[in-house]
Amino acid sequence: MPVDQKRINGPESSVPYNIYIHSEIKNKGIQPDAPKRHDGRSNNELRNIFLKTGIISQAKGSAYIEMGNTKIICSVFDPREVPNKTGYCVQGELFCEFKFAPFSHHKRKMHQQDAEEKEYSLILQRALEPAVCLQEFPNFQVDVYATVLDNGGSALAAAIMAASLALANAGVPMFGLVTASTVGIYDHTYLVDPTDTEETFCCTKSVPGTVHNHGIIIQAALPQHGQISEMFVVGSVDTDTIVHSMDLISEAHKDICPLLEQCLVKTVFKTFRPNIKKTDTK
Amino acid sequence: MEFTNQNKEIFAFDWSKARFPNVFKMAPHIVPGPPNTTALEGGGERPMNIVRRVGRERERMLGMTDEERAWRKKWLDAQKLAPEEPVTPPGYYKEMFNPIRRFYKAPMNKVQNMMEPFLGYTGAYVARHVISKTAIGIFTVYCIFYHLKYNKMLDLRNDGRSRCQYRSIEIETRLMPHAHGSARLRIGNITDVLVGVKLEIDTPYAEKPDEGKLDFFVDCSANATPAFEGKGGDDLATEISNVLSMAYQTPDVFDLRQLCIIPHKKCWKMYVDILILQCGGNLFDAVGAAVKAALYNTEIPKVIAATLDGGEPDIQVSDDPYDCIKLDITTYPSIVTVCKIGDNFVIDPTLEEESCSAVNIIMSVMPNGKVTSMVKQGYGSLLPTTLIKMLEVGKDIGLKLNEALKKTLEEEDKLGRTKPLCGFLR
Repeated sequence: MPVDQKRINGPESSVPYNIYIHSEIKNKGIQPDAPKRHDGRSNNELRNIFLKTGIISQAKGSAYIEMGNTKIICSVFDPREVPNKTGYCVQGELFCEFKFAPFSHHKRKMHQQDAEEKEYSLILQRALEPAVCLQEFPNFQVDVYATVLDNGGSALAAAIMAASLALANAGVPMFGLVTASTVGIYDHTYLVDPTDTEETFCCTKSVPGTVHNHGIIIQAALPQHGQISEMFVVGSVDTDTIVHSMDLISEAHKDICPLLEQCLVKTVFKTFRPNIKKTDTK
Repeated sequence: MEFTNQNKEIFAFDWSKARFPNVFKMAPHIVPGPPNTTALEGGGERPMNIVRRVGRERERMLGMTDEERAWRKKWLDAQKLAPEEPVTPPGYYKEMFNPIRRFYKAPMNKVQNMMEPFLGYTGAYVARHVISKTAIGIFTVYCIFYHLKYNKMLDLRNDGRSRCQYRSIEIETRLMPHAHGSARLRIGNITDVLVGVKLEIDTPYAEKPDEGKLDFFVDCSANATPAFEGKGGDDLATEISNVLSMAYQTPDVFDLRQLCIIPHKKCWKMYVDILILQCGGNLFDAVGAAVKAALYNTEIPKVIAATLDGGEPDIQVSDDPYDCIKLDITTYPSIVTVCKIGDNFVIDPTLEEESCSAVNIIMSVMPNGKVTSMVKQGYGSLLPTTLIKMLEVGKDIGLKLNEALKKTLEEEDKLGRTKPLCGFLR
């Protein structure tokens, strides 16, 4: 991994201190068969979502999303010509960058993108591409930057939603909004919108040698068209489980989509009548 | 004669009042007349029975009377057509054919009228039907022909394969003497992938002290396509290595604990280096299978002594090159790309087919049918039902690929270490 020499990086071989915390304290918290999750939700319940657009005034469009502890800020800038490109390209391009803030995890993240962030950038791009009318800006690229301020689980799904909201706020021509959600699978338990502890729990299997399902499914969709724009599975799950969790996720999408729409409508109202609140109070 | 009287009696018989069973019981020799239909709806009249008495064989033997002959003659005369007959009543054509039939009959009626002076009525009638039926027949044949010629349900691709067929795959293992395991895989003599596995000793991650390390590095060499020159192949390379590391991530597939030597201190680090020599489509499947083949013949040197000497680890590795541990590949997944073109899915796409498709699904399937990773590629989106169908197709293909791969590798293993290298750059 090449390190940026111009920055003052942290010590090369530092480790987060919490691996030295006694393991009994560390591992408690998640029982897959419990009726309620450790934050008091039921298995199919989403966390509360807070959305706000136009948070960065310099950017063409921006959005901020908060799902529980997950906080993501996303900005979209004006189209610019695709750099280092020779020849004409009929379709425009989306350039997405997904970045965890150095202080967003237990373990400190580097300033440069690591493999996970690069992968997430690609997923973000593929999730958004079907929704954007790329033929409207040939030979140009639109930059989308998503930064995770705090990772409380399901960061990628939240970033996809924030990015679609920011694109809409920037006035990029789109076919529809993109929603995304995550399902964590552990044996027969499906945890919709998992937190970070639940995510690591679903990814690393505690009982070796048994054959039960575990993994994480992220699905992005265009709920207004009933299309799936991105599907990402990691873990070890059989196809029936995937099909079942797709049903769960589509239910979640139905709940989330009106929120995004509402947020955009609110933004439009604010742009046209910025003083409406003041006049009301008067 | 007696029966004439009887006949007269029958003539005088009022049929409308007759009740059948009684008539038969009373006079079984009497010819059955038309049935009484007064009870039926509308009390319709049946036509008179012209066969009458002679319908029965015994009666026929008796012969006909003069009276009957005269009657019959009268009937026969009545059958002759008058010169103006047959008369078509006005509105008959309209009554017989509904507007739709009249509409489509109209052109051929005109043709028939034109032909009539030359062929006569019957000739024109026959000719008209022969012509129209032949035209319809020819049209149908053409339709079917073009349907079969140009439609994709033929399940045939440009290179003669069916949709779910791989090109021929060539695998050769143990090629590189310096690598601990290696394999070269070619699909259809185009896609060419070389994989080498190297082992080195490293310290484990602090958060996972009892696990080794497994890393995938992909190098898209510019030999394959000029597009890979410089940083051009980087995106593809990260994509491939990400798919691989996701596929091997779960402990169900690859238990990293088998690479541990001394917890907290020493572990094996396994480098899987993938070199793409030639690119002819379907890189993911090729890389997936090649990695599995390379791991199959990877030999981890046996550690004969691992001790902690005053907090410092001390390791001794066996100096016998044949003293080694092999990996168990029965859980390792193989990667399958399901490529959606139009309404159909294609396995093992060529470069042309890849450029036609808007959506690919790349999934890794374990030999027990579980999916360890799945990623969508391409700029398109999918309907959920299509996605599920692709998932099923990919799973079936993955199971078959795993089985075939295992069989081939075992067969190659039987050739032993001294097998001649045949395919490698010679």
